[in-house]
Amino acid sequence: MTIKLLWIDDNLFHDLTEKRMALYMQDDIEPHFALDATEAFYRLRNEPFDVVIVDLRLPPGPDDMWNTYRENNFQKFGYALLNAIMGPQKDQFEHLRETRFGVFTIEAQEENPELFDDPILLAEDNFKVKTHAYHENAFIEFIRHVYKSLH
Amino acid sequence: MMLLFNTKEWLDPEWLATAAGIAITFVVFIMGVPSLIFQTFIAGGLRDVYNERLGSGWARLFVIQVVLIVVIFLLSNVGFDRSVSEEHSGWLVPLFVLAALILVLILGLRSLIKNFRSSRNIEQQLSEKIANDAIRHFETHKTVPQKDLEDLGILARELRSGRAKNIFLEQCEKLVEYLLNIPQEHRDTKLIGKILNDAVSLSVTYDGAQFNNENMRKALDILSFTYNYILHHTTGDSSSSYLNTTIGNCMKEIGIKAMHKDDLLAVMDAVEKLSAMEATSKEMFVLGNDALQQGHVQPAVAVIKKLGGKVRSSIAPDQAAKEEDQRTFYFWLGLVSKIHQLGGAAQDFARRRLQTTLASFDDAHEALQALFKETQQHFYQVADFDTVDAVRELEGFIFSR
Repeated sequence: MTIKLLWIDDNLFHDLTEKRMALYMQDDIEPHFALDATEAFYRLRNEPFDVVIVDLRLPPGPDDMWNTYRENNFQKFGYALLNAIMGPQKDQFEHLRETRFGVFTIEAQEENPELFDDPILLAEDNFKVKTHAYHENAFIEFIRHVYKSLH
Repeated sequence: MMLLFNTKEWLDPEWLATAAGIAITFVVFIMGVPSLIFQTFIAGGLRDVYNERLGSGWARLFVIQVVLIVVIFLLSNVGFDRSVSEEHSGWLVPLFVLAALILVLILGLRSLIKNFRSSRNIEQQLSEKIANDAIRHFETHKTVPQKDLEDLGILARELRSGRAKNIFLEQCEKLVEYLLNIPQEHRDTKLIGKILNDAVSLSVTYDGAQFNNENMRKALDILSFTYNYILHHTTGDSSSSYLNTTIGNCMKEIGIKAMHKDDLLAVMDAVEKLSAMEATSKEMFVLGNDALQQGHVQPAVAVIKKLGGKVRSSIAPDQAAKEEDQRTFYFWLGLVSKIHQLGGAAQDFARRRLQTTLASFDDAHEALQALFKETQQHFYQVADFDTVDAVRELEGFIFSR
């Protein structure tokens, strides 16, 4: 069984390079990456994924759909993305019904209570705080854990 | 000032000569400023574009200043005061001269300040002006003038790397977004493709152009966004295939350029964005193969994983594959064979990829061997003999056991 993964993070090509390469080397993971909310939004509309890992502090990307957030000086476009695909625009994402979502971010869980409410309803175990000491193997295990998690 | 000189003699020839002298000296100085700015702040290739787009104010100012100086001369030399009534000539003519002189000084000073202020962001102003002119022209004539496209191309080649180039790319993005937002039946995909190819992509692929990682990633973002926008806002339109091909080619060119600059992060970004597009297995193979030739394994590993995912879901024994899926298989196997040739740990990786991706062929060796032969044939037809040899070598290794 192969886990088709989409990892959305604007640091993928900087301090997360090793984790990204480690994912390529896993037999049971087929990794895909997106760098901003716009790229991720279209990627998720195009194809199904088994696991989606999101960083909360994402850049919005070029699409105008984020303008209402932009005007309010909003920073957490990862949250905006999750909110869009599970809330107002969920009809366009029917193919993600079986997808498991996880959050991998520098922020603490307590700072983001809205993630665990409707419409996102993220499982608490699927939230992981990003630190420099967080090893590649632990991250890969986190992905496998998210894959096995129930909605 | 008038009160100080309010005597019969104050408009004598000496005074007027002084006034005209001040005006001429000041105008010559003011007119020299743009030349100074040209030399100091504007790259050689951009001067013509600057002159055409932002330099018209200078010519207008020059004409106004010359007219004002001529007025001062006329007032002093043709006995203009005699044509005015005796009652008013004592104060009216001096007032005209003073007004003309003050106007020359104020206009000149204003131009001087404006020129020095505008010299700070000349590239940004030029990029904005061209994009805005193109949008304005399109609104009325439904086309973008060739001149605007040419000027975008000049900026793409001449601008410095970093912030100046990113601002230029943002303006290109604004123009492309405007053209994308036009309803599908009136959308000009050829024009969008031309802007992507001749401005966006060229700005980071042109030999001699200056660009950095940030610029390449911005260009890739614009290309990727255009592809996605077209994909989700187009119904049954064959003309978008032209745009998809253009975008795929541009991404490949950017990836190759990044490779030659040893900017592997930009190469990986290009691979990632290509993998999200339909029918780009060839472009991905080219990037992976080029990476191996340059001694970089990581982009090739990424390409093998990306293509492998597509191969696993579309190629199986006793199942007719679509032509595009077959091509994907050929490129995937070609690259796996190239990695296998490296020996050592790379060989282990290649074998592992074969085992996991082609697990469904465990009991179908003949079908698998036929695919190996087809792959060799595919690369032989395009005279890629290196890859043919690599596939043959891998075939020998697998089927001789």
